[in-house]
Amino acid sequence: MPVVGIDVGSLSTEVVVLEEGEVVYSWVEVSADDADTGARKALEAYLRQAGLSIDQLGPVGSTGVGRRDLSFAQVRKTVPSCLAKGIHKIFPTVRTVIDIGAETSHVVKVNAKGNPEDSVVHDKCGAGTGTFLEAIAKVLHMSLDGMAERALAATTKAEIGNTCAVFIEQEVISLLHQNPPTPVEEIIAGVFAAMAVRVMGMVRMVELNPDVAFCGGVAKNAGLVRALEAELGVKLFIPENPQLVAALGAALWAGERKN
Amino acid sequence: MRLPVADFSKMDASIRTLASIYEHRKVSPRGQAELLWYQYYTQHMQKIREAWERGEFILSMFDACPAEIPYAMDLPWYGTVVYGPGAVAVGAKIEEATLDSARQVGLMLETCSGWRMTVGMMMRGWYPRPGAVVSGNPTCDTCAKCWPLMAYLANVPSFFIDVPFPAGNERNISYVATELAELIEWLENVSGKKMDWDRLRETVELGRQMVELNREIQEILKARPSPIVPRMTTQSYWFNWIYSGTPEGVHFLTALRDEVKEKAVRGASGLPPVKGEAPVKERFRVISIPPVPQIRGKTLDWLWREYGVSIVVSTFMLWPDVEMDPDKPLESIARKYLNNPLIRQYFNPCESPYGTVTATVQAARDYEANGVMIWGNPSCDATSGFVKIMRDRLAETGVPSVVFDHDPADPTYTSEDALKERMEEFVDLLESREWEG
Repeated sequence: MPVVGIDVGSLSTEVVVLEEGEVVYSWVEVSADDADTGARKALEAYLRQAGLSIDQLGPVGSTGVGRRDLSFAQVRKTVPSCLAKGIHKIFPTVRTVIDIGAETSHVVKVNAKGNPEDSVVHDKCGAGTGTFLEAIAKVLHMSLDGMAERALAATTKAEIGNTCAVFIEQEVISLLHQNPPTPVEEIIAGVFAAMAVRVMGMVRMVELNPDVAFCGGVAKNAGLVRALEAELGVKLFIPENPQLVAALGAALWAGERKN
Repeated sequence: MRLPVADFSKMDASIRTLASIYEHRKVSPRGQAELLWYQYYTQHMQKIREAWERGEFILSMFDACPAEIPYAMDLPWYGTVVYGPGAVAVGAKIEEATLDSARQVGLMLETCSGWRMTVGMMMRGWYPRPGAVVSGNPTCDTCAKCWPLMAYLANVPSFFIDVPFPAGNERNISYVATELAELIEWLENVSGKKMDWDRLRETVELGRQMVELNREIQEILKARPSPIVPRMTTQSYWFNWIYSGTPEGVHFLTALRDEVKEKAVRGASGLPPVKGEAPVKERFRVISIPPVPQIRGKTLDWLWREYGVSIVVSTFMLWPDVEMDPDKPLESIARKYLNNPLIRQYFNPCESPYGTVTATVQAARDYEANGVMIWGNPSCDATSGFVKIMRDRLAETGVPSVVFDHDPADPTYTSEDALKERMEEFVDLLESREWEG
């Protein structure tokens, strides 16, 4: 019987379906106004191809900010628990998970059994989140992929002194318009470095225990990965689909039927 | 700077709310201690209000200073924390306006909101205008620095009780006793009232009884399930401030002792069940440091009902044995002042035998706690400095902890949803440990 994990985030809803413990389906959907609609939409293709209705699914686990609103979930777990469980399945040696989502960042200390030992969350200021990177991309008139490429081309980085999203944005604008202007790749490298310093502060709260994994949609950004590796001094383990780790964890919890 | 004339609208609103809660609790009682708490808290505020109406000299004092002295001098006094930030907890809606006022005299976000609100209350005229103010340096620099500002704004004289750091040695107790003697002489001059030394000796004896009652309560609270409702871990602490060395203080603590004892013997949890529902179960026992913010009392009831997480004790409830001799009133009051759990734990090095880290690690053992909640008010310089040490020391003994990015006085700083989310993350962690055995 298929086991389902759904991560209802503020911007996107991720779905993972497991059969015999292996991922057979995954999908990322823009979060809808209500959790059920987004999740059902994300499951549509799987249900069609498997010839099943939602009622015929096995246990469903939910996580993320909208987990409580998902009417057909039987198991609800918080993000740190799902990150720990999910990353343990992919990389059993990982002991620290960094997750940067659209509006929230987590750092989770994971034990050898794949359970959370400690966690810190950063949700007050946008400067450590994906939404912040999108705002900077908008200021620079480029895509997030474009930002990553330009950052990797940088040989040095601008010093970005502020750790507040609004002030960093102002600083980026003034660096662009000063005479002579700071090269864009140096600005982007500076922004990533500032973000890495912020993440390092969270990592220190739970201690840096190798191996370290980086997940969440932002982990796809090679520029930030480089900046984080430089700041942390470790090689990061990055899953193939870093944004699906929490949903995978939710499915695994659902499989264990632990609420 | 000219302060506005006294505006009692907020105080009157608080009195009305407290009185209506008291009336409601009389009809739907949740225990004698809680009933007394509301009754005496209301009375305390009404007395200040009436003293103002009569034009009496009123003393404004940091709540943790020795209240025995104004009581023995028959001086009406109010504690600024209980009246100021405390008013938020009863829905007086003072936070936005007071924080805005404090900003006008340079107290920004980085300063503890408790003190910003206190200064803001004074600026708005929401405190009764005092004849004098009294404070001390425990427990933090912000406390020490906001009081001169309060006196300046009110244009009244002030007295500062100097407490040497660390608080817990005999030499410093003797020194503080001389400070208290000076305070009495100074208060006699500024208020025109005289110290009643017989009455002061009575307050010492009553204070001794209160310490003993607190110590009995803290022993009873080791029971399973926890026989105390989460918010009472803070309410009882406040009561030790505002009714220190009084018959009311003894009355309240006796009622609380009897109540938790009766529940502990019966094996009943402190949080009463919702009508028609099963008794509330305790799955996880958690210690709160510092005490549970009053504005989050309902949230902690929810946490217990929903997930079985009880607050077994706040470390500020943990009184040591304090030698009190009515024939040595000033020395006894100084000793009690410096052994008040807040001052003892925060005004000693955090890892010293009296310090807050030592006290919390020991309490986690004594109360068989599954975890510790640290209300990590980021603007509290007294708390921020030990959070890392405390978390590491607790982890070494196998006790997990969680830090809430939370402001104890300003409900707008952290949303209810964000706080609950963090609480649920901690519950998940506790559950994982339970399953792992």
